[in-house]
Amino acid sequence: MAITVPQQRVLSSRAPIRRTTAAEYLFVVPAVLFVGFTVLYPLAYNVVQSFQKVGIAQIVNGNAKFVGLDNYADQLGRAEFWKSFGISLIYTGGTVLVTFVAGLALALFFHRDFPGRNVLRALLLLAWVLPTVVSANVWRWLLDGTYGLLNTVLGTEIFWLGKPGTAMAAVTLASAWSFAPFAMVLLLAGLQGISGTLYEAARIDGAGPWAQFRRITLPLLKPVSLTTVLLCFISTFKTFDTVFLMTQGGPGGATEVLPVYAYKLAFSFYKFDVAAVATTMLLVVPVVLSVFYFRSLRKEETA
Amino acid sequence: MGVRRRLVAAISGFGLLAGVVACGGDSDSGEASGGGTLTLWQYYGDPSSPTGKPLYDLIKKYDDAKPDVTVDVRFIPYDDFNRTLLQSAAAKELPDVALIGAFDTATMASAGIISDLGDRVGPWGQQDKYFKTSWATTQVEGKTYGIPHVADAYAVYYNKQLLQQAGVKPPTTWAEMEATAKKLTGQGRTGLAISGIEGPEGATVPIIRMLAAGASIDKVDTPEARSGLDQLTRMIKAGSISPGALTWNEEDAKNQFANGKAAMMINSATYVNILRKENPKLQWDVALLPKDKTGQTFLSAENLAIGATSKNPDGAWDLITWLQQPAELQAYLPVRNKLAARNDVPDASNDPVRKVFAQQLEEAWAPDEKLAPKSSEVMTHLQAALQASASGSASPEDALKTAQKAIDESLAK
Amino acid sequence: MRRRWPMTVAGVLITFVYLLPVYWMLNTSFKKPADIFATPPQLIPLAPTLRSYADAAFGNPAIAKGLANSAVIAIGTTLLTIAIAVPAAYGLARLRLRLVSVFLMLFLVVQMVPAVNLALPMFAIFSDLGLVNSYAGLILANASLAIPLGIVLLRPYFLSVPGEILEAAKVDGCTTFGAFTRIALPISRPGLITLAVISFLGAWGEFVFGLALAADENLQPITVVLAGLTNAFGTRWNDLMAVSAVVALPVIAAFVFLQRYIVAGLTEGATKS
Repeated sequence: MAITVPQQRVLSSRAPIRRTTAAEYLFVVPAVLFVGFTVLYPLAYNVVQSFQKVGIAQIVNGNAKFVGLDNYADQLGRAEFWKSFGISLIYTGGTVLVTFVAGLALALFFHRDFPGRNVLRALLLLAWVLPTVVSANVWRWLLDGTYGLLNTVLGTEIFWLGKPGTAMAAVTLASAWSFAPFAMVLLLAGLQGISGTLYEAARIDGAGPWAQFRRITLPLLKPVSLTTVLLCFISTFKTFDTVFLMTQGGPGGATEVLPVYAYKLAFSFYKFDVAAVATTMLLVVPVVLSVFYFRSLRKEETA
Repeated sequence: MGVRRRLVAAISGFGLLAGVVACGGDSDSGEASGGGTLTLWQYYGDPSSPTGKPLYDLIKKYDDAKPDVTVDVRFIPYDDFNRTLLQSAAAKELPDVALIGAFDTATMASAGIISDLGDRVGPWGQQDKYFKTSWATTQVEGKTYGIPHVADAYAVYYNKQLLQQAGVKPPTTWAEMEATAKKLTGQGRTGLAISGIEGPEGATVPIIRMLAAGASIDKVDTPEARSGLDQLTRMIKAGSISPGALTWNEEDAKNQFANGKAAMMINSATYVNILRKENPKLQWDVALLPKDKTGQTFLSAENLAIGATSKNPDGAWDLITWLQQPAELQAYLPVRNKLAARNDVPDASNDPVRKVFAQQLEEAWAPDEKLAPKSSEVMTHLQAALQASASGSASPEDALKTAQKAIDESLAK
Repeated sequence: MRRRWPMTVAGVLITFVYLLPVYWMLNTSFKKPADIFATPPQLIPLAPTLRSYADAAFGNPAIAKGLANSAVIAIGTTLLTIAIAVPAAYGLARLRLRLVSVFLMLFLVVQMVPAVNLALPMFAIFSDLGLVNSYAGLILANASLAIPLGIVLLRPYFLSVPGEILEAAKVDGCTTFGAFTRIALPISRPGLITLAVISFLGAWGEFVFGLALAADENLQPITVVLAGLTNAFGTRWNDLMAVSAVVALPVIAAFVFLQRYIVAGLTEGATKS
């Protein structure tokens, strides 16, 4: 946060000096058209499909008929939809919690100054950029019931991905593992924004490390923490690949988060219409949250 | 097709990519005139796998017999097979021949993915040679959409050594199965391995068990179906079927059996030669499925169909009928570990294991015409019931109620 | 300074433990089939072998094809993203209009859209346009989310180019476009590299679009090929890990050589996305 926003504000105050030319509009036009075609149009198309009857035959041959609110009535009155919605919330909540705690711990550690710090910090980000197919396979291997490393270390023979509770814990852990270094980077930026003199003053007043953490670090880190939590929430809520590749939503639908639920409606059951309802609903949460996010951004900017 | 794509690419403001698009993989380069290239898609395996190789070898024979035709075989894993066909139908790039799951024939037909073979089957005149259960899977609303390629059944594989050590015989009833599996469990080993993986593949054993109890697959909210699911759930909870089964496909179940981690498994004939070749030291045999009220097995079969957008349906039909000649099947089936779907293919192998499967096949169950178009969905719902009940997230009763609701909906559409 | 070394040791330990999954992938990939199941597990391969790499990874034509496809898709996405996002970011940095904040908001919000939300309708739309099963379709899909990210990421770089310099260039006879290419682009070179690396890596690891839009094996990205083959590996974890390692290779290489740009991209792009 602290990195880019103030900079923008300073520069925009310089604006009145110059006038814009028509050419500069042309720079922006392709991007707007492109996003219109590849994002806004599909989203609108999706909404239209959610009011039509679209099965496999309509995808292949066209001619979808409008059916009004039937698809919405079907999904919103359906226990499976709400179950999946709930599973999404549990998965997202758990992942955000673990991500934040681990990210904060890593940030506090790597905020200290020691030789090699920057290299190690960057290395951790490997977990964040690793292709999901790769990390999902690695986690499946680590958690394998018969020969997995985790069972060997614990001396157990648990099929982690075969039971609802442990499967949920596993996908949560795997997701948090890749998100936490990202949270660390955001929180580190926040920590760097806290003036060292505050800690010195606190030390003079006799505050111990814990008191310093609670009285100075946490409160001053609040804006960045909020951003971190929101970004993690949005990224996790829309996660499809980690879950799909590790459990395919199983066992018994225990990890069937909304994106996986929607995908299965479309490509396992060929119900593209109700799948469109599910994905439309999937948008509601990020939109609501992004409103909060931008509000917090603005507050931060004016603060 | 290429022109249109190039146009879109150019409009999108990056003509640079048009070249790339033009050389993108157009698999259907088949010429309309008899010869040229034919495409065939299948989910058996790649040329290096024991389940895939026999088909590639058979196709090569066809290639050699028809010098002006080349058959391009593509392997698509089972999990991705139907989705890929759907996507290819949308792209109008379907293969000339698709070797599809027998129960999926109706779904594919009603979606317009495969062609009606009615005009060709009449003059061909061999439809009467096929076993009724197998032929029935090709029929959709009175039309023929496929030709049965092979048939397969499920039976119990058992580890002779382990059963001997425990002093037990292969179970003949499901009650015995539960007791026997329990006795064989322990020392890091489970009694019975099955595949219960997400999706229709994991539905086979629950269906076998429910059929044995006298249940009907479209009516599972019944005491019969419940007693079947109850027992499987009990066996998983007792550890005599490993809880890992919920994540295993049939290959995984075979691996458990092959490395001695499971004393028995329910699986198809597919693995007979694989076990013989890859685990020569393993002492095993097969037995008929245990009975309850019935001893029905699950028909596992594939049909050969012609893609709706094929540019060379005549060539495709020629390939299909060539593959189905009794003389070719007679050599192919024992190597592929499959059984004949037609009655004029003598089994000269004299293999006692194949005899068990052949006997089992006589009691094979296949979905009726009402259930067939939705069978993949229905099976997915039944697998979900097993998952829910075995993993403890629902009681068998509730799991079946949920499944019944989903099945009713699928069938109502 | 001396007493900071213990911190370094602790840091190395933490990092190692954190990246243990990555280590275990590499470790397993160098083992012989029998050694993967050894008890206790071999913490380093006692008889390391490259067989899994030779046979399962590079020896499998499907994997090789998938890697090549991913390269085409990722490079195409990178080029397209640069071609569209860079001028847009520049334009949005130069324009002073109420509309600018609307567009910026649009590009920010767009990044919250789940890929599944785009992949499913794109499948239907691209079916009509003949873009299912084409590199162009996959590149368009990947760029759909990379371009907004790129704009948001690059705009600050262009904001930091003082307007006076650009005005002065125009006075000296440069066109608007000339001022962009001769002055703004060179100054924001680090940003361009960051964008290129990020969009390449994003497209390289992308899964959902590939799954929904490519049914043709001649076009499928490696992520989809690998996911499809996963079951076929069964218990050959050494082979699966070798293939996974090969898929991770460009990412690891980018990390070694372009670390600075990735970290910059993640922090700035992420904070604004």
